[in-house]
Amino acid sequence: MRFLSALAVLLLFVTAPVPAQTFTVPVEYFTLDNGLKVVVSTDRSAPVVLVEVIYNIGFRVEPKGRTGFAHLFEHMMFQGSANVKKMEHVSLIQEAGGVVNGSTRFDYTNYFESVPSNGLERALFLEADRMRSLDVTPENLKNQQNVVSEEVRVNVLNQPHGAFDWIEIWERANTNWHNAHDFYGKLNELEAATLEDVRAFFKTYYAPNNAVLVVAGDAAAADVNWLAEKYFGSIPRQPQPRPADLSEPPQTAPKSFTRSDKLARTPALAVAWHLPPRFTKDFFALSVLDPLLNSDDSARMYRKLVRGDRLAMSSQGGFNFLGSNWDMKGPMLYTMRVDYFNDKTADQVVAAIESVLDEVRKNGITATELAQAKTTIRSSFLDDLEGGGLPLFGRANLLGVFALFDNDPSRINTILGELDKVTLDEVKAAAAKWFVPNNRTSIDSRPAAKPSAGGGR
Amino acid sequence: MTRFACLAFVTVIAPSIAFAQTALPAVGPERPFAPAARVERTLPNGLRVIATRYATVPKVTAMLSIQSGLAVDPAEKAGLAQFVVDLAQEGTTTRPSEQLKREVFAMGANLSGFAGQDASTFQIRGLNSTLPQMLALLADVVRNPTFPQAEFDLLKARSAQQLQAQAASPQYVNNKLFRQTLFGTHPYARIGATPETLPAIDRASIVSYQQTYYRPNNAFLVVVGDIAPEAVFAAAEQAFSGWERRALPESNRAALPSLNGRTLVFVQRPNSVQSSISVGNFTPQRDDARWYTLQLANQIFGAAFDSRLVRNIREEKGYTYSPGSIFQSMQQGGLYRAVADVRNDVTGATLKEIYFEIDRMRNGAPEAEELGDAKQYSRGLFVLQNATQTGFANTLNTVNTFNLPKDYPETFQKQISQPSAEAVQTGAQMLLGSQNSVVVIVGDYTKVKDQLSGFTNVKFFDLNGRPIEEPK
Repeated sequence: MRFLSALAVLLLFVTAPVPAQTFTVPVEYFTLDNGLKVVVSTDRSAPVVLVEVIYNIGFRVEPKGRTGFAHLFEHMMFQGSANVKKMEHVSLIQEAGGVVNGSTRFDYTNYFESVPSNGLERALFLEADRMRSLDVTPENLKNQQNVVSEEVRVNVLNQPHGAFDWIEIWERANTNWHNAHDFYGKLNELEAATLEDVRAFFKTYYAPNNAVLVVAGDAAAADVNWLAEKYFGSIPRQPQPRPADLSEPPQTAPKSFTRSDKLARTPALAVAWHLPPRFTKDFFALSVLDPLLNSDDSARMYRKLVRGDRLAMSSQGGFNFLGSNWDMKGPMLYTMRVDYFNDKTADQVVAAIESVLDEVRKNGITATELAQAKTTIRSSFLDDLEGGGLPLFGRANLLGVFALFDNDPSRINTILGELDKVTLDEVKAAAAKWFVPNNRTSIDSRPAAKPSAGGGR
Repeated sequence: MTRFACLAFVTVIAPSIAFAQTALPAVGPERPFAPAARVERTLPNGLRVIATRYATVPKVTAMLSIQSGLAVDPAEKAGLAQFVVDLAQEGTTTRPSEQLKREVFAMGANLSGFAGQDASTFQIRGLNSTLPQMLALLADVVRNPTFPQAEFDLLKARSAQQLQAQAASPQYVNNKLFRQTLFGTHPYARIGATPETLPAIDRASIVSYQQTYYRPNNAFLVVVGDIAPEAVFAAAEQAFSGWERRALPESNRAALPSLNGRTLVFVQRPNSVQSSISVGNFTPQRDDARWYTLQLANQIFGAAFDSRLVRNIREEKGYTYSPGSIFQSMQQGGLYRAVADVRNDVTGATLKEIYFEIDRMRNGAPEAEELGDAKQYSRGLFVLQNATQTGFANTLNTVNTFNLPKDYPETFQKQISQPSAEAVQTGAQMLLGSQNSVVVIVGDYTKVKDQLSGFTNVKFFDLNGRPIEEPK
């Protein structure tokens, strides 16, 4: 119960928030001579390990004129290296009973193997081989340009509303190219990528001193230590890449856009607000407010938009559609997507959203809500520590991000303590500062053809 | 430190590691996978409770599975079971909808429900210290829902809008039309309400469904988490013991239809930049002893990332990002679907390759190495799938829904390791139909029609699943 504020404890009898049992993640942390950071979290609850290499390069910093390149490059990392042929990385992990994948995010790119723990050494060998000696042929580049183009088609170009709520909203809300470009990629720019681009990107960003190796699960730190030295120790470091200027000037007036969609049959609205920088007082305050606004169908937005005013079929929102509050370093957006009824308008939805926010700006939240939000965050954080798609993936990724961005993976055990300190006044003040019309961008996406009658109320 | 210094260091301590490690390390012996022990008891009213202590994190997952789903909906009210699941969470005799949802949030829990073909499953996951409250709430939802008229009206309006939204999704439409084509009038054709059945779903039929099927003798409760089985039983007895049992109506399922030749269903979607393709057929039911041979054939064919279909149409030809191989076994038969979303101009070429790989699987046994890898992969995947509380709860849900042997978690590894190459070829012939199969394409017919020669039986539909003339 230590995380509850005194005020909240006084109000426990109303709807008692529940104290979460303290759960401490074991963290061992060391750095190889070539600069590779290594984090180990031993957990023997199942005979599996999660091996992850996380690189300090996300799609914000891909080359101009090469939108989508950071992600295309991620695909190239599966196309072979000095001792591993194309697709062999995948087959060698499958032979060890495991699965492998990678993902490109705003501020990092990760590669991971989820394997029964007897496959640990093989996973480390494979990750080291590609970090040392990526080897891409023109045929393999062409092949993956085709595959990624199909990925953009299936996830964006052939979907109703495209990516208006998770890519276009970034392009509209931001002004700095790094934050405001199409990070999945324009097809012609994906097509334009060359082997030279691949080699340069690899040399610049895929160096041991720009990466973190994480092993979580059924493995001892001492074993990971010598295995990391054995496989990664002699990979040469590279000059540290110059950090890009990601700063985003403050927004001073509301922005709203409309788009017409040939594939959609119902309307939808995307809304975004710029967020305070990571780990500031306002950031933690809004992290606590987030579940009260948008976690589930008990949250204020759902209650207003779907239940109360019956404007929308569904409403969802949060910090980061591609991750969480914890895994972004550069400027962030709080985004919402509201699929509203055919006979309603975007203006009505925006007005309803503003009325929800206005209530928080004026009156804040209740002490009970504050305590419950903290309980919910703690509970879902435990899900990340256990799973996150693959066993221990969420844990490994958090450890990797905290090592990469903060040189402090043990933050995984203290970060919720920062949320516990958040007070009612801080939530109200942060909402009044950030969730305001002048900081808002919206896109109304409507079917090109008029939707048929019915369905609305 | 420079690379030089690094080399100097390793030269002294351990010369071998001065060089890049080029030799592939062998995979060590598999570590034993011992699934957590289950304790099972049946309450006097017939509710089976299966409890497992699994202490990965201080949380717990509870699944209450009603052994009736979409398949028992009256045909004209298809989708009813999902309405019952959704509306049951919108208010009980003691908890109005908003209060119910706030209580779930206050506990730090998540509540959800899903109606499949054979079962309706409610899941609640939260902190281990709240299990008694979680089960009390779960019991309230299945035992005492009031199905308020206002909540029903809201849900219906949202569903009507959602059906329109779903008709814009090529993957949703493909799944719906595939099942409709394969199963015809058999209830397994359903995945939810349709524009035709939605108006017929009324509050009275929801009440009647819940009264008929939401019975302890037609349900089981699986609880997996960091909590002692005794505490689970105590909480379960408290929450469920007053639930009244009742005899269920006799089930008289229609026989499954059979496939005759290749059928092509084309769903016209103007402006589509890809063709969303399914190719598939019937498969045996889940408790068929040959299931393991089909499972291995599925991994070799297309389910694994390194599989024949993915190598061919993704890694060699670059036709698609997302080839998939979906094998769903149910209580009465099952289905298989190979799926891929491909750019318009390779629609025909993709179909050709899918059938090429299907025929290759049917006409020859897998090589020893390929089969050995598939077995090893399947064993490992099973360990990974059961390494979380909810993952293990899902396995127990499968065991109990399909009446698999109770020691399925213990025997899976051995069973999947046994089939011979010939048995897997036979499995492939059951998994993958060639001459008798269904093809569904959701796309822009005007852009791809020239690529579709060779199909004599072609039917056209719109995005709502209604028959149309050949698009011009």
